[in-house]
Amino acid sequence: MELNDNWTWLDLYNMAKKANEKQSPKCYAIPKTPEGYLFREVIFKDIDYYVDKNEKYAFDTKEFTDALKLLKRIMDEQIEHPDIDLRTVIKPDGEIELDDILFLPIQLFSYDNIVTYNVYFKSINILPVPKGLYTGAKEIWDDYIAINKSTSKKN
Amino acid sequence: MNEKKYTNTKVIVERYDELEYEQYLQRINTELMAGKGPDLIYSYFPFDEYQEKGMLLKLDDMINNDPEFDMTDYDQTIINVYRSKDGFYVMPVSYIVDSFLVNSTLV
Repeated sequence: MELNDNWTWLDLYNMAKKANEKQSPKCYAIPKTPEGYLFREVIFKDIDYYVDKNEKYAFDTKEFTDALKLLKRIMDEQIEHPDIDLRTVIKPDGEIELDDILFLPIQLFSYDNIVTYNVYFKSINILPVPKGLYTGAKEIWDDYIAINKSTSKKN
Repeated sequence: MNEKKYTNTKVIVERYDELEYEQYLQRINTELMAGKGPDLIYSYFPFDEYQEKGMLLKLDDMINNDPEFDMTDYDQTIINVYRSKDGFYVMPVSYIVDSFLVNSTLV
């Protein structure tokens, strides 16, 4: 299968389907994810496409129903593993056992993270999380710091 | 590092691990509203609300007058999220990127 860092959730779905044409027993695209994860990734990530700045909605469009249908297919056809979740895949000592799972959602803090994954996982490949169907929107989680205006140590 | 550079400075880290997020927010809110609280606030907090209420120190002058600090060293996409019309009050210090590890034995 050809990997592409510009991939979408539709590509991931198709990849899982293709893998299962030859694979026996069944393999899964991703581990079991927390409730709401798939909705956030497949639908909500493209919210800027469905709702514009003037609050005009596009929820009655073919694009939106196509996205919902894709989400339904992903859920109904067990693209994600029914039992094994992220905590099960990543062992307490950091070792990863993917077995019959094609992709593992991870969060990268730094390049050092990639090295760490490489210790436990041979032939490492890391891709950006798949895009929604219509935008390239990405979620970034960050920590931030500010100074209390009342501090006596401004200097 | 700060204590090594500024030898007369003692940094005290006050953690709020024992509090639920709502309790932590309430405590920080109360402290800041009373003109008290920690000198530095680090973690998740409603920075836009604090900025609007004048609880945070504007960083622009400090940044511009510090020859060791170069804003272009940082990811501008992330930095610009925190840049308001009024100035710069919050500094992002780390961020996480969602990614997918590929099982190369199957794919």
